[in-house]
Amino acid sequence: MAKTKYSIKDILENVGVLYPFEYISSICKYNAEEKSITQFIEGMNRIINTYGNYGYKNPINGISDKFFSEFEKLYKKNSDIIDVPSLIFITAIQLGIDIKDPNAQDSLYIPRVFLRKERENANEYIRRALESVDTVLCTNEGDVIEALLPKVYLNPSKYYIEENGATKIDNTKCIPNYEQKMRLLEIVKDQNMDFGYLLKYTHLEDLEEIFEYPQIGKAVMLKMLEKAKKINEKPHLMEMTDEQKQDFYYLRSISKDIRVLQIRDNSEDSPNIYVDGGTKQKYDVLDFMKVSKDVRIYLDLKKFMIITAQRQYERHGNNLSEFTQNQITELNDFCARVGTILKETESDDKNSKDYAEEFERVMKNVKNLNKHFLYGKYYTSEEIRELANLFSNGIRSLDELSKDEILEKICFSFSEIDKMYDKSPENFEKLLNLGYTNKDVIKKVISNKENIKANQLVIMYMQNLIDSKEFIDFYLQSDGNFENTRILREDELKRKEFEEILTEKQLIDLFLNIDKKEEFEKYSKLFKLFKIDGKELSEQAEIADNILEQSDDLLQNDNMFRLYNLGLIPIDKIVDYMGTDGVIELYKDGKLKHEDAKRMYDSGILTTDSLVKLLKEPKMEDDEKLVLIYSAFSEDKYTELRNLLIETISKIQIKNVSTQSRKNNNPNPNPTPNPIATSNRYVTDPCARWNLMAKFDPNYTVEYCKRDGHAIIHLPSLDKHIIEKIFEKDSKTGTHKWAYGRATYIIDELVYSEYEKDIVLKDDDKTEAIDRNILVKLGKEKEGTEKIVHSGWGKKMCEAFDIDTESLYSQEQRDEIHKLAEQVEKSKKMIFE
Amino acid sequence: MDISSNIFEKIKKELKSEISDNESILLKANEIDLGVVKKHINLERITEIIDSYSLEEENKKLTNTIAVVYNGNPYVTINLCMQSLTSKNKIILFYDDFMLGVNSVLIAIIQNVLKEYKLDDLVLAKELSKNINFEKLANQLSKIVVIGKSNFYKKLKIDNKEYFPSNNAVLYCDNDEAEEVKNAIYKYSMETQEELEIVDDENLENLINTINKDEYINTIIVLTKNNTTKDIFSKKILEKEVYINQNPYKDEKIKIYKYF
Repeated sequence: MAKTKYSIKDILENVGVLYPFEYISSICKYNAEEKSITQFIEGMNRIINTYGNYGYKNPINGISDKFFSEFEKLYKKNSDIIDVPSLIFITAIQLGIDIKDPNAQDSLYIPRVFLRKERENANEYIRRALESVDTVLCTNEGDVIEALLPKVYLNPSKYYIEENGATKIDNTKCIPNYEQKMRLLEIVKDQNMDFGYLLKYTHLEDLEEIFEYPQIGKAVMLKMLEKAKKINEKPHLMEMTDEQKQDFYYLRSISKDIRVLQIRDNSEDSPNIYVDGGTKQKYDVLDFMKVSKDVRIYLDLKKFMIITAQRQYERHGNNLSEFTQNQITELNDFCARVGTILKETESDDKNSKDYAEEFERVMKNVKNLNKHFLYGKYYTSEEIRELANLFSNGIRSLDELSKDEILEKICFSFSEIDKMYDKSPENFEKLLNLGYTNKDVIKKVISNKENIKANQLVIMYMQNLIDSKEFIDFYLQSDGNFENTRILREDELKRKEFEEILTEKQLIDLFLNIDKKEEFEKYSKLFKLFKIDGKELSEQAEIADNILEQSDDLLQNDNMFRLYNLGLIPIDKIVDYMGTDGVIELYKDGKLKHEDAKRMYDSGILTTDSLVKLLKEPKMEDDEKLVLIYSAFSEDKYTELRNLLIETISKIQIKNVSTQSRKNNNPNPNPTPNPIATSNRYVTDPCARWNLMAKFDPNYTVEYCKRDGHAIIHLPSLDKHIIEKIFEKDSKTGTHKWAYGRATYIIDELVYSEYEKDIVLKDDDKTEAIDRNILVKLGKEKEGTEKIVHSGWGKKMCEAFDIDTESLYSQEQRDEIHKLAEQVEKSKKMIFE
Repeated sequence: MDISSNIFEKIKKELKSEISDNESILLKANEIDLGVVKKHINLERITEIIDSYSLEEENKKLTNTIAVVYNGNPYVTINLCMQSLTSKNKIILFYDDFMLGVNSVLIAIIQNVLKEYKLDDLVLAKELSKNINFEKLANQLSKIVVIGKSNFYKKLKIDNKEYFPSNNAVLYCDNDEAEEVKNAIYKYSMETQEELEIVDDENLENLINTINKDEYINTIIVLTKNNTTKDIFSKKILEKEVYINQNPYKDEKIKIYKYF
């Protein structure tokens, strides 16, 4: 036979050490202060961490004396918040012990809280109990808990107390037993109250819990009965709206606790109609509120609402881990609804103001409580800050939580966000993207930073955390990443806003200030993006005039070239101020943009003669000349010009052993092989390479490394650099040949500027060679760098630039393949048939 | 779904027989491929691959679902399928258009055979496209295995990913007489889409260090007459295939890993 009585010592000796958190919170009374619960749990954790960590699977041997004495001290200190029967029940469940009702040999006690929360465990517990006893029947007839097990009647008394016995547990309160209730019933009967039949089904203990003091609860109950009687004389029902019906169901669940609030219907003489859940039973929500109006000053709203929420939980049967969160969510909703009903009925209430304040306070507490539930469990304020710290340090990702949890529960402080900015840019960006709204905090955070990330500024601007002027100011201090900034141009209103703020004056002030070189470069990018890009040539020329008007110094060749290179003035201005010589000089230095070279040639400004003259320049080597020719005039329509220019190169020593021989098997390959479609995977010949570059960005320029035959192709519209080996140079023989086997590297502007000094080896400030070891390292490790190996080069390059390529297989070929694959199945069927 | 040794052996037998029965279809598909990529399919090699596998664990339950992204090489496909069976992992193949014809037919054969054993969803396959959101897909998978497509792997922003090289080769040649061989290997790699980079670094120590650190490379071809160079490469290259004056592409002996 199972042990029937347990003292606190019994419990603690058997309970094991590690209660799951939910259990710990469950053994605290609902009216316990949050702070007290927190302190109790903290104390328990401390004891567990210090004196025991054994787990409940091995509870008996696991508890040290020290643990026990510490735990007992803690218990005594917190006895007012511990729900002893719950503690007993948890222990019973944990250890598989059946707890018998000391009042009745053949009944079971299960604390009600666990009937609500631990339905599965309780069922299991009852099942085990049924196996060990002959009859399981509650002697206190009428106290029926809805079907946990069919036809099993249980005593739902919340407290496990034997008033007359020897096992009364200290610091627990006494609850009226069956006899006491019956006495009360007699009183009601004496008063000739028809409604008194209800008392037979009243859970007095619930009333006492709901009301602050037991004696008030009893008084209130009697008072309510009187009220109820009067109400019963009126037409009792009204048509209910959907919302009222919803409330009705909530209140009906409450009625299990406060059945006295049930309003009977016309068949008042028959007690059967009051049977819980009976179909004939009728309720009137507003009547209930009217009844309760006079007495609700005694009502402990918080308890009332929490009990209600629990009853909802019972109906839904949610599992334990969801319970806490769902309960609070439902509680919020319910509070709002109860609040509305109470307001509707309280106009003549002299205490309405106090009451409203109390209600607000409770609401606030409930909402506040909600803020402590994360990951399905309760976090103390300190624990939430510890969690915030983990997010700030990037140890945990904000992806773990929802938007509301992050913004309304974690509530990051300035210092936490400040730290997050430095330690976890990912979390910081996530926070911005979620719609963090405190502008002052964000501005304060970035104001004292040296490493502002431009991409984050874009998010801040999009989320209205900074305005366009602030964006520009912060951008000048940022890393200058332009990747996301282009998005801002897509909105015409935003573009205009920026266009108005960006001025030629500020542009040139920065340009002429040698200490502001970096700021100028960033400002010029914004200026170009918002004021120049997408404009007609005539408009661009007008803006260029405005720029050049700012200072006479700008008309110096170097300044003009620099402004041209940055895309701030068009090539036409170079022609206007410097003539053809300016264009030739740019071309010679590889600074003439691909598109401009063609336009200058087509318009006759750059003539064949001037190009031939340039190519006869004795100081230029053949490979340099070839790069100039191919990079500018790679298209088909320039074939004649190209061949003519190549013929002018006197000592051509370029060996052409590339795959073009595979293409046409020509023993004497033409110096200008036919261009290959860019979608072809085998792009290796010079023209096709340059055509593809032009497809990516027609404004590309080329910097050639004389010493080792690399070319650095700058794609200004895409903020990328391509590093491509053009020639293999034999330092011993002085000969060179087309290179075809080295991997190509595509590098984002930001990475390129960071590593330029390491990548590009310069002699006397002139580009000479490329350090491929750095390229390999970047290609492997650095985001924003791609390595493209030459097999499938064209397709891979297009993929890297997000350009759709044609499939190598035609639709016809694909259809044919599809048919062949289908044939496999058909042939199989035929074999089986 | 259970795969016993007995069933596994039956599947192997069935696969070989189906490949043999569908030889003409496979060769027709290969003809289409040859218009795009100069690679002949070797069906005997496929059979050899099937035979090389045996069941790892009799009672292991089929639990994981793994996506594999690769170029569509049919030899890799058959290896992946066999590894799916032996390791009892469900796989979703995302293949590129390398030998699209043979690969599509081979996948159809594999799926047909598996269907008979009620293993319909063991090997699913779909052609790779830009529209597939792998970041989202990764949440539902144990992992995404990427074979050979290093840039794809690098750009994939998920934690549960794993990379395996696939004939990602580096060719070093310091022998002028081998220039033609070098060009032939290069040409072959272009035609068959094998990733090959030709390097000409003068500082061998540097080159070898760089190669050793690069997990995307798994094959090194050296064309040299110089014994010291041979020694350096054969001794200092770590955990990669080194072919000195040899052709690694001979006999389709692609380096296969245990992918899952």
